[in-house]
Amino acid sequence: MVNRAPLAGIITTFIFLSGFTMGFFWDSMRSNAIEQELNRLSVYSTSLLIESQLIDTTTCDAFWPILKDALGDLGDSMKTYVSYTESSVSNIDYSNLLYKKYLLSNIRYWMFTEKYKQTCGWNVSTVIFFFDDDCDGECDAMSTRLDYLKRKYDNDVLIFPINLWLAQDDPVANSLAILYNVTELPKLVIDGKVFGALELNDLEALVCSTVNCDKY
Amino acid sequence: MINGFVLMAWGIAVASIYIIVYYLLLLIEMEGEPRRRYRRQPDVTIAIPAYNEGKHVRKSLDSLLVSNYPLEKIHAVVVDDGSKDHTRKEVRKFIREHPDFDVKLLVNSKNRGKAYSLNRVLKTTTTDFMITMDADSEAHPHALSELIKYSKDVSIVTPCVLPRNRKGRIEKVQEIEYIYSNYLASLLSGFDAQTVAPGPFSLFRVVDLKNVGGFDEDSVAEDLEVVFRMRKGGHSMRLAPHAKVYTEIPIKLGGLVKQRKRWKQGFLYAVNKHPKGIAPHTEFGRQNLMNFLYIFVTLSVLFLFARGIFVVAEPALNVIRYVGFDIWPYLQSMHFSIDFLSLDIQMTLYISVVAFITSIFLYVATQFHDRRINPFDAFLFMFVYGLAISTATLLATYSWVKGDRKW
Repeated sequence: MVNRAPLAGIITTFIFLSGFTMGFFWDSMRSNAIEQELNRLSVYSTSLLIESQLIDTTTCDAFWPILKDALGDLGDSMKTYVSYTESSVSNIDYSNLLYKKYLLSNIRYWMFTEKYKQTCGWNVSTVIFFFDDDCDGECDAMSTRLDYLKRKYDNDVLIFPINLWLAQDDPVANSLAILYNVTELPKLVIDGKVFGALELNDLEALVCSTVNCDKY
Repeated sequence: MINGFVLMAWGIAVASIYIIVYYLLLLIEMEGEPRRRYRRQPDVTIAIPAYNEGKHVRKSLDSLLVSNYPLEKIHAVVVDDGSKDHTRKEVRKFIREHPDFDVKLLVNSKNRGKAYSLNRVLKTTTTDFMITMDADSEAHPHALSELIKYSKDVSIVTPCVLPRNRKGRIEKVQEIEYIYSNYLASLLSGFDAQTVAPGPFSLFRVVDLKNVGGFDEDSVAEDLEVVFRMRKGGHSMRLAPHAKVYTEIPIKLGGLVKQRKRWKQGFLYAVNKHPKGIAPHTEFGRQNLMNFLYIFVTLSVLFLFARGIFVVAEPALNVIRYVGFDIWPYLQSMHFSIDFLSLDIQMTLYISVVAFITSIFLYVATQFHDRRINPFDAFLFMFVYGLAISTATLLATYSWVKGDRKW
């Protein structure tokens, strides 16, 4: 007769070790997939940025569907990145590197959108949202309100979140923070103007000064 | 990041997988059942305590009437425990209608509890064996002879208890639990490690039961407490796998939680009274330790579930707090998609392992009872039912700490 209690312990340990092995394999598959996605976004956003130099009023209609799809991809990749980092067992440095890649694509998209707005007269509101992991209450409030506006006005409100804690060594993010005088968080740059925390009504009024909100 | 919740989650994961692996090993070790028979079938007393069981008591007596055990060797004693309904009337009517069947009625002047009623029968019984029978249970025609068949060398023989009523969803899920528990009991029986003699229809050797002082009238689960004392006296027990008894089970969630609370409370009471009952040098003690581990897992599951609800509800609360009740934009932009790469790997693997091993157990258990179960009910049993049991465990622990001993 076997001694059941220690044998159960050994089998349990084996199950957990197998689980860890499979978990690391899964995690590496996932980080590869996310890295590929970010590389694709990076190439695409660089390409868009170069193309933005070529925009003139006659090519606006051709660019619009491209931009719309690209912004959709950007939103999806952010969601994937967030869900990945929440459950990942990979090291934090690697996770931060992925974030920086995402951030650069994000900023390139923002620059392209600004250029498109100027050249093509697109009535879209762009919001850069500066926050970090230490800013809980106000940043949560702003994040919830911005998410609400994004859902309500769809592609007419474009939000570019920048987590300054994750982007602390990134020169582009820091330059933007200096440019817009971000000394406290949260900070919003709505169509080029800088604001602190805002109530929903004020935020919506600012967005609707650019966007034709009546159609919603 | 390591915090208390993460540690607790890992504790649950390790403990629960350890428990199911431990029981899976019983499958491998399972031994055959010895079947030494009597030359002459012994007389048996059947003690039936009844409190407000006017609706059911007749069915219980009827089930004995159709038993394949010789009727002249069955001596039923119904103890009316101060009922306020027509229990006494039903029993008297049954006695009048069946003069060839030895059925007696004892009446308690007031409600004294099940253990008191059983002890009342025990004091006067002259047979070698006594069976405790719940007044809302029905024995299969072969149940009594099967119990006797296994009683040759042991002091207690237990049956396989199955639900009598199984129409609703809650009853169907409970049926799976009964099937599962019976199979587990059959495995434990091979090692003399059973911890309870189910109230619906368990057989006791009278001399041994009298020697340990009968049933504890302070316990809310006398069928469990008595096993602790019988074990202490060196007595062994067996399960008769073909002795089936059908019992009335709760049809509402509240009733289920109340019943399970009583069972858990009874276990904690018994451990408190007999701390050596959890000493790991016997199979019985090791089994009780596993029961303790199970209590830890169920309590922790409830705690993590509550936290999970909070985590899920927090964004919704934030929306209400910061945006108000305008949910239309959320409904408009809702979409469902499954991205396998975004799955929580730890949770996915854990659930897969638990579901896989539990499914093996359930499959073998259903074969044991030759019953088919609905996969949806099995899913509810594996992933939802535990919450009701966890709630009962929490309430039982609280009551036990408070010193509450009431039914």
